[in-house]
Amino acid sequence: MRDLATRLRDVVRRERPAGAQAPPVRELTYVPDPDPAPLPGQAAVALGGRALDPAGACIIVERVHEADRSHGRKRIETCAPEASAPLHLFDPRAAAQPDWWRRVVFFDIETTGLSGGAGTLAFLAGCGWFDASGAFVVRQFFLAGPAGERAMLDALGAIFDDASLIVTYNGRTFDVPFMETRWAFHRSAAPTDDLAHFDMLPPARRLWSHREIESPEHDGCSLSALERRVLGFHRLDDVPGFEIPARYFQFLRTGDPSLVSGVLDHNRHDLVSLAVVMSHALWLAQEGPEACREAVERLALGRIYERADDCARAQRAYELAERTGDAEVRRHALARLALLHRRAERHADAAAAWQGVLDLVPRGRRTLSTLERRAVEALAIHHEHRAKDLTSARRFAEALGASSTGRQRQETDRRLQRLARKMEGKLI
Amino acid sequence: MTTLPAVTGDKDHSLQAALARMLAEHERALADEAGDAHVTAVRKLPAVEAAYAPWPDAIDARLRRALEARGIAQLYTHQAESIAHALDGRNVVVITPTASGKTLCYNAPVLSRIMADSSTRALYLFPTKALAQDQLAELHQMAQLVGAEGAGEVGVFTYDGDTPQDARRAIRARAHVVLSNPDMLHAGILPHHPRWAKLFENLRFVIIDELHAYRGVFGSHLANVLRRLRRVCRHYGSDPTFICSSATIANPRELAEHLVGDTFELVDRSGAPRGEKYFLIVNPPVVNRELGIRRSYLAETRRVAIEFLKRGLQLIVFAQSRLSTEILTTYLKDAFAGPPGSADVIRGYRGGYLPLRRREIERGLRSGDVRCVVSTNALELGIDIGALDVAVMAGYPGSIAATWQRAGRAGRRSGRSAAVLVVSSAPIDQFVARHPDFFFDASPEHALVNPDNLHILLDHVKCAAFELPFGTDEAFGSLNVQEMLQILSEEGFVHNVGDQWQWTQESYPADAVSLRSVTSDNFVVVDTTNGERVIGETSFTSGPSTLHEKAIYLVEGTLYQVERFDFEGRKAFVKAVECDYYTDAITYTKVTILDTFATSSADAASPEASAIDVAAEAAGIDDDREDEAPAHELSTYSPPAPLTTMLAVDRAHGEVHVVSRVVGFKKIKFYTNENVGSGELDLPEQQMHTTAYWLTIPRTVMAQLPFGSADRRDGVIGLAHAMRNIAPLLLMCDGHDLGMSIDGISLDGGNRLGGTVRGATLPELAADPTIFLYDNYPGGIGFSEPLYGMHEVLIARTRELIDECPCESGCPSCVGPEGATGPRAKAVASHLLRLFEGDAVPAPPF
Repeated sequence: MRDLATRLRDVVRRERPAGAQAPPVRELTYVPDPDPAPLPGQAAVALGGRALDPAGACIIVERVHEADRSHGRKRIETCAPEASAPLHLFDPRAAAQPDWWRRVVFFDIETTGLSGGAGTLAFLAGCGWFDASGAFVVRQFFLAGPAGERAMLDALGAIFDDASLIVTYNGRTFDVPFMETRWAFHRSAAPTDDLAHFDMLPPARRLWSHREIESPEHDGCSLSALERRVLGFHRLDDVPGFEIPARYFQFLRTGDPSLVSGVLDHNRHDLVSLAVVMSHALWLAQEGPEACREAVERLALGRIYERADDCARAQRAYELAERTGDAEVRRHALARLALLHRRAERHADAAAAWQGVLDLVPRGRRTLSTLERRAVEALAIHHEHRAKDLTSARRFAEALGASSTGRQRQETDRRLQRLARKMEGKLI
Repeated sequence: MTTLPAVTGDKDHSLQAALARMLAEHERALADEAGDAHVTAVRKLPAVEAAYAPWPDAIDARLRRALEARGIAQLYTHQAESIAHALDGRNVVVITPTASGKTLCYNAPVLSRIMADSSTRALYLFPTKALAQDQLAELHQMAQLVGAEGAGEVGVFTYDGDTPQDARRAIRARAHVVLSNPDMLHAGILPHHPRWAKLFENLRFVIIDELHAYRGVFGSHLANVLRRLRRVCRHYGSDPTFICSSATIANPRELAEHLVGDTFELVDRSGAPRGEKYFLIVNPPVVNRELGIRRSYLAETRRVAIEFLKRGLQLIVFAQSRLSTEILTTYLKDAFAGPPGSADVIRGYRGGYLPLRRREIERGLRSGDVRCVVSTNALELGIDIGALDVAVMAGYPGSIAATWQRAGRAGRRSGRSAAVLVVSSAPIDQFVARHPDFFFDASPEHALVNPDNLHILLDHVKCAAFELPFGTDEAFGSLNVQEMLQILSEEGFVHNVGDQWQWTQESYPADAVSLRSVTSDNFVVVDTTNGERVIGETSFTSGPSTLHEKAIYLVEGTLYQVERFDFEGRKAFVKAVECDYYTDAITYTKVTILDTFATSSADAASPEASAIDVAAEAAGIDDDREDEAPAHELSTYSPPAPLTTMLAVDRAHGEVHVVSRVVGFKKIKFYTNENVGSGELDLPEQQMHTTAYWLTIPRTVMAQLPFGSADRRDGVIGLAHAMRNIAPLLLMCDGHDLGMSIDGISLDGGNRLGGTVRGATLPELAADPTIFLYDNYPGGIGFSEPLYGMHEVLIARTRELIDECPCESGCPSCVGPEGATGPRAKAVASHLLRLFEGDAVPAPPF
């Protein structure tokens, strides 16, 4: 009878169903390496850090970005959080934490997979903060072996216990819940449980994603995309995110630190960019629309003010966007303005803004966009009920009818019949 | 066509009337010796009085008050015993006939412990989601009652694939009792155990309901899931007590111990009362004695069902396969078409129906709106369908345990009930009909599991490695897990870092492992008659034989024809059709031997070898096998007594490679079962590695056969046909669990309606022909080794079947129908069996 090992190999290799398409190749080519595992501490030296535990399974790497260095268009020292920064405009709950600016810790992890589950590790946890001199300190904990996790969690716990606020990028759905399961795995309470947390991703989306505006140079809202567009910072030789787990597994098998040093750089850049992007967003919100470089930013800023019920600044932002933007931005800025005016019962101003939206429609185009339909409808109502200009009201209602179907069509038809009755009454 | 009468007030009376008719037939048959016994056996199982026992001391007094308030004044003996064991921390398995109050056996200790210590947590596992839902309502009620007694709030939740994402967090935090299923534990809970830390830290009880359902592949998977569960519990410092409930099988304690990997107490005496029950066996009459053809058992089932239906009784009809379920549903619907537009009173029920349809049918049964349900074994498990009057089984369910389980669906509460078994012409069915005592008096079968099936085990080692890194000195089950981890590390799944094995893949291994079969792939059936909608699904292995192009696919009697079979996309596109036939696929199977685990050859040259030599040789071989591969020893199987006879035939068991391909199909007319056409198909091969038992007939034996070569071939095919049908009787397994092949020449119908089909060009037999009986699952599930051990019994029973069969030259009940197997198949097979057993053989009759 064949031995167990032979039969096992057979089963393991046969698992891949014959004929089924191979899974996307994400693993780096893997060649078993006969070299003995590197000595403890060896990886620490190569990565420019030191071992946190005697076995060298958890490595701590610290780097300082000096206060007078620049990150894209921003100088590091200008980015330290300040008490006066309008954080409440982005996240009232985080801003409600007294002294939130006292010790802001930026946090980002790299994991062995996105699926979650007990077998996925955060093999790299990076923390960043500003020191008294205005320099940005990045302290990273790297697992040279999974046995170092306990030491990593304890060290992170100490940093979090000291923090007044943690800032992440998508941490509300990913990084923080992920780490919570790691603490639970080791049967300890998570230090993040009652820590104020500001997730920069939602405000970044509001400011820079502009889902309603199509733009060719738009390449998503990842941190590296933002640092290019917003900060003017370009990374060299960045490790693509999808490669990270495979690189780490390969490191575990070979002990070759060059596989992961790029991952540490990637994580460090993310932390610096996160701090600078947050500072930039707060600065824009503080300074107002005049500080924006693009009209589309002004439009987005207006919406942020509007959400926070600061209608005066919102109006200013929309007006500035309308004056400086291209047709697409102007259309949206005018629509927002119209809604603001209506809320304040400035009906004539609202009508003028809606008319502005329609004036942007190129001559000869027959169809209407959703926004334009909304403008036509608002104007039809305005002219019928407020301006009492039945002829104009009918013109708008007819335009509306020409571009609608189904229930909308029925409503429009009713409006036209009513207008017809009213106009007849006037004639008689 | 008739319409159904109203349900009568006096069901006992109606039942008596229906039975009287059938009993009269029985009497007539007994009186007329030459007559073919139609009702071959009648047993009356008397009513049984209840037996009560005092409340165990350990039970919380408040729980006792709450139960008394609910009208439970005293406990049945089996309830008191299991509650006492569980509260003392001893694992217990309790045998529970239907309607014996099994839920109290586990709910009482769980609630009692929660009342004493509110941090207590319990996990309930049911084989299906539907069963968990069934139990939820009752547990809620109990929780409210004990809450009223001051126990605080007891959280009871189901957690399965249907639980909304946003509710899951709350359940993890608040549930004292989590009702789930093995699949969810495997893929949804264990891989995320940190989120369930509170549950695992405080887990005091694990309840496994319907334990007998976990045999074969499913059981082997569950055993490994439970190994993983106990490993995670150790991580969180808990060591739960297991409470299992099971229907009657031969080895409940052994099964529980193998599944859980720990010792168990057995409570096998029920104290519950039982109403009077009649059990009848009906054999359809022979319509053609020469060809041994009986009336179709499906038609006979229809007749029996109508007897009961028209007397206003509610019944369940069990069929053997999805196909026969659909055929019977069609027959009964034809017979009882209600007024147009009225709700259906006859329903079909089987796996592959969508859940909403199933729930609707279950509700209809409880309310009485559904008068008759035709079901596969899907309703054999304890889904609450209320108290039915009669259970009719179309065909022997394949095992004694399953037969009693199905019979138990009638008469759950007190009052008279009946069960009728209508046997088919399959050999095993005829054996039961001719030997009713075998059925009534024999112990039910053993449930086998093989947790160390390498395919299954390796999958779970991966899952376990993901959940908690393996230590370099850790064990998992009985095989050497360190060796497995070494091989998984060669393939990049894990890596040895320091003193542990770290999972080194991005993927989430549990996603790729389905507990219900070896592969989790399936085919969906898309109805394109009116737009596109999914109307069913089927497993990967049975897809090609049921969903090939031009196949007729049935759902509750509605016929669909497959227009396009997208093998790669795992879809079949069907359109509703009207036709009077169904289809049955023809599968070609080839088996090659990879590895022989054990063999025992006959020395055909000296058949008079001394008994001592033979015994020594056999014993030596057995010892060898154990030395070489102790790990492969099937834990649930005890080797038979030392051999006393040596058959003149070689036997072996080992690992084989099976290639099967659907090559064509037959069109078979409803009611008459005429073959009305056929078609050829070109479908991809399906391959698997599995284990097999095989028997090789030495050429010296073949040479002694005074028959021509075509007849010899027919005889070997006939012998294989009979053996394949007797084998499931000896093992506790379904006919589909075993595959058969002869030297790689096997053409076989996909279901049991027809016999072996003869292809147009059968290759010649090898000089030493070999008959393979293989486990029909990749990796094998442990049938081959027991078959190897039962070789003599298998041969003896096969000989009994063939020799006792009243047909002249072969029929579907022994070697296969003459038209398909050849005119001398029976004679040759019988002759061969005599040669095997070393009997003197009379000269052939010519």
